[in-house]
Amino acid sequence: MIRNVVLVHGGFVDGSGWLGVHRLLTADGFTVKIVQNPTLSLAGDAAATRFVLDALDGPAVLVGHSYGGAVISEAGTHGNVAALVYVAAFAPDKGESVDTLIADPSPGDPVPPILAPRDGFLFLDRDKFHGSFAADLPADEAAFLADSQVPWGVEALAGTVTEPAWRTRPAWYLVSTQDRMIPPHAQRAMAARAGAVTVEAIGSHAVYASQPGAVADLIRQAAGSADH
Amino acid sequence: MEASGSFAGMLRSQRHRVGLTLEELAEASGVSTRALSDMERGRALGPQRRTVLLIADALKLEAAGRAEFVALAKAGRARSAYLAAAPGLCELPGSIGDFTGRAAELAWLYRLAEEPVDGPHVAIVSGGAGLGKTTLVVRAAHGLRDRFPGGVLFVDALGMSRRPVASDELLSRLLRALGVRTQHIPDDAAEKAGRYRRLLSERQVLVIVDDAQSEAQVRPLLPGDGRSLLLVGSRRLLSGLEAARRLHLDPMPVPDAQDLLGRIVAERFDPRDEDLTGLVELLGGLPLALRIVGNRLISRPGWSAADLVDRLSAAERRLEQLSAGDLKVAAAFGMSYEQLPAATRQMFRRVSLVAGPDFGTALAAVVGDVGVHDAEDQLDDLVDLSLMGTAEGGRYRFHDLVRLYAHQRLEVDEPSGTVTAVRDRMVAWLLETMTAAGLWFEPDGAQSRFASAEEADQWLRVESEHWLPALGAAALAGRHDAVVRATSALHWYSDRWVDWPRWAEVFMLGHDSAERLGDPGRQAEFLNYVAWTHTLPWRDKRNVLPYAERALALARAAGDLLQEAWALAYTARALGPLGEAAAAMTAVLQAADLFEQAGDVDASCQAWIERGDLQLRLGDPDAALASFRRAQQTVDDPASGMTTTIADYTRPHVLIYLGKALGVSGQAEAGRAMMQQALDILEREQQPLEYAVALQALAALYDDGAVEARDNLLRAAELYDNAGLPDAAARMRAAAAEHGPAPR
Repeated sequence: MIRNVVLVHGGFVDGSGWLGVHRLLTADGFTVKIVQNPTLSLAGDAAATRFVLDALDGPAVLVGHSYGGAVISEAGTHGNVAALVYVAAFAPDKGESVDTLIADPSPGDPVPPILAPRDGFLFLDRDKFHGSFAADLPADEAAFLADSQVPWGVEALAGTVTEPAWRTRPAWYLVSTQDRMIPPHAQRAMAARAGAVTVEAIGSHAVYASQPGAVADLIRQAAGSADH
Repeated sequence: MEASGSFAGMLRSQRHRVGLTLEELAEASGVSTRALSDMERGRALGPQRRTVLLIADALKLEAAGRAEFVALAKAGRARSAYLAAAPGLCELPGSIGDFTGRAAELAWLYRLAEEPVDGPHVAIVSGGAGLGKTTLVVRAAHGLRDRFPGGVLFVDALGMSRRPVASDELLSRLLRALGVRTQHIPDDAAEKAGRYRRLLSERQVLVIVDDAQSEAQVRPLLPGDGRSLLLVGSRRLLSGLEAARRLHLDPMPVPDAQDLLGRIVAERFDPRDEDLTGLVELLGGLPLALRIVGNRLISRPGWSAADLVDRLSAAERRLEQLSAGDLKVAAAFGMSYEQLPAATRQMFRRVSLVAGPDFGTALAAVVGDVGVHDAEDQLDDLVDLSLMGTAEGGRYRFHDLVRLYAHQRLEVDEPSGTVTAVRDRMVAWLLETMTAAGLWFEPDGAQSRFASAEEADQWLRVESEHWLPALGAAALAGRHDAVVRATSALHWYSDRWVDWPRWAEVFMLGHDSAERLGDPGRQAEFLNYVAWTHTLPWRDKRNVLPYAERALALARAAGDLLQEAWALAYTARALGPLGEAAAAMTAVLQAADLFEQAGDVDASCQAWIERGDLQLRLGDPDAALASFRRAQQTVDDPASGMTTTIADYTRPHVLIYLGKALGVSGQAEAGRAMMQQALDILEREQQPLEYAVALQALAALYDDGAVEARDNLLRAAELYDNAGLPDAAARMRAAAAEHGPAPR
């Protein structure tokens, strides 16, 4: 049984959104580490993740939300990674980046309210944050997230994955069915391509914070079946 | 020669010519008796070339005879390019003829097999990649055959692959190999493991689980008390398995390694050749590397060992730019790779793009961009050089170190545009082929590409690790037409493989693509398929509702009566067991109405049965009787428009329901007559489990304490026992006991 879990957050937010998942998994006796990846570049975030992985005493489940999926795809080839869990996340193939994956939206896909870059950083429109990012969180929590946004570096979105870990590691995927940031159909297709075992949860893009139970369940499954 | 043009015939006649029994030939060739017997009866699809050569050696076939023998075997394989043998025979692979060294390890294993133990008898052989764990374990198993009259079973757990085999699946395969028929294997994991342990305690079986991934994967396979032995090979220590004895493999000591290399190259080299020693020093004691280099050496008559030492040192320097794996091993692979013909090199690196753990020649031909025969020749050459392994059913499999190497070569030797093009071609081919396979099961579907429905079925199962990721890739590439076509072709087929847990994922991909294409009717159809997956007996019925609800809205928007009806029917099917019979009734009435409007007689009949069932639950047996009679009329009237096969299948079920309803409305005798009709049909159709269900229903139509009730339940118990369902049998016996003591 794997006892380590490493959580990687996505763009616009920091690691504090993992509080609920952390609480549930530590109560089960897991050692849980949260990567505070700066989201300036994919290489930098992968390095921040490897830094945490290096310090573990054994195999881990590596979990990524949203852009964190690109990070775990890149850093997940680390020797301490036994399984990958994608939570409403990007799962780029070799040579793909978040940019290439969102380049060609289908007609009818919701358009994330991302503002024009300012000095190389992206922000979400504060007023549309609740509806687009976190519709299933209470309004005050969504407002707090909107006001505490972490600037997301355009370089991070452009960073291409060199050797996708999902090609060699078992993967699990949680699809959020009411996601208005990454359309569910894109999530399902990335999950299938990665050969991931897929579970669906009715929730917004902020499912990692709004439904910690569903996320923790999937991580437990991954820890149980992908022993090291 | 009386070879009669078939491999099976020639094998038999040649065996008789040299006067060997099957067992003696097995002993001489290292190929198991069962495999040989299957080949002689024409049941084995296509033995691998390596196996054929082992048999040819044992039969002492030479020149023309040998060539004909090999050619006949190959002709047998060519016919089955799409087809793979169903996994489940758990056949022990042949042992390598020039096995060398590891004497202490073998002795350890033999001694262990003799030791009496309390509790489960388990041994684990662990060690790194390329150390020869599988070879050792297989060799030991051959040596231990006589000690295990109950059989020697081998399963590959694919622990180092991306998707290791689940223990549940391993158990199913082992149970099948132990003679339990597929339909008699319990669904429940605990029941499955219980049955496996019982069989192992009754017989004396050696079970080998190779390439095990984890404690969790192996634990359900532990034997109970008794004299069976579980032998596990793993790259990991599996230290969580407490009761196990452990053997850790190290690289071979230098003298053994020299000996191994000497034997491989014995036909051309003096084993004391000093340069062979040089080679061993360069390679370390890794049997995989020694074997690959040795095979290279004898296939290059112009080379001396000294040449090879020079080249290998150079290769090792060249490979320093490659990052992964042991440099020495990569150098050994490079040695062989660089001497291959260009086309075979291309095949070797490109098949590293295949996602699943193993693959057949048809898929290899697509990625290699060659014909199936050429692909097969190239793969066989790779097998001969130990650069490729073989898997069950004439399939091929990389050793994962070699695969890593092949993938690196791909990156270095092919422009990235080519890699993308090859991937696209593979995805397109997988979608086309799965569509063709699925269409075999659609009413009026085209029957192409495959020779039979069984072949199409096998392909879909065996290749699911390839086609499901291909669906995802196609959706990401915006090929929505192809995705919709492929997933919709699998609708009827999914009914044949209901226990596959991933249908919901497949149909959601179809739904998403239909949505991209702006086709709400199709979306509703796919959502209904997803809803169906959640109506299966072992699923949580609550999950049906959101999908059916969304399907209903879409079908109404699209004006699609049939899909609207199905959405309602699935809603009803979920609500009934959820204790909401009244709401279910409303839904089923609406569904029945719509099915009739849409003119779908098969579905209409089903809706009448479901309606009657709900009326029974709601305590209205008269209304239920009317519903079941209506269904019966449809089933029995040849002019009703119902599909004949569906009517035949439905008839006994309607009779059972009628019998039940008659019983509830106080007409037990008429009810028993219905049950008897159902029993007659089920007996004729040889449906023992359905028969047991009918017996149980018949028993309920007798008074408490009636001898007939008790006897019927005891007969049902017997049938469940024969079917390997001891729990169900016990329930029947308990129910029978309530009607009085069993007759002595």
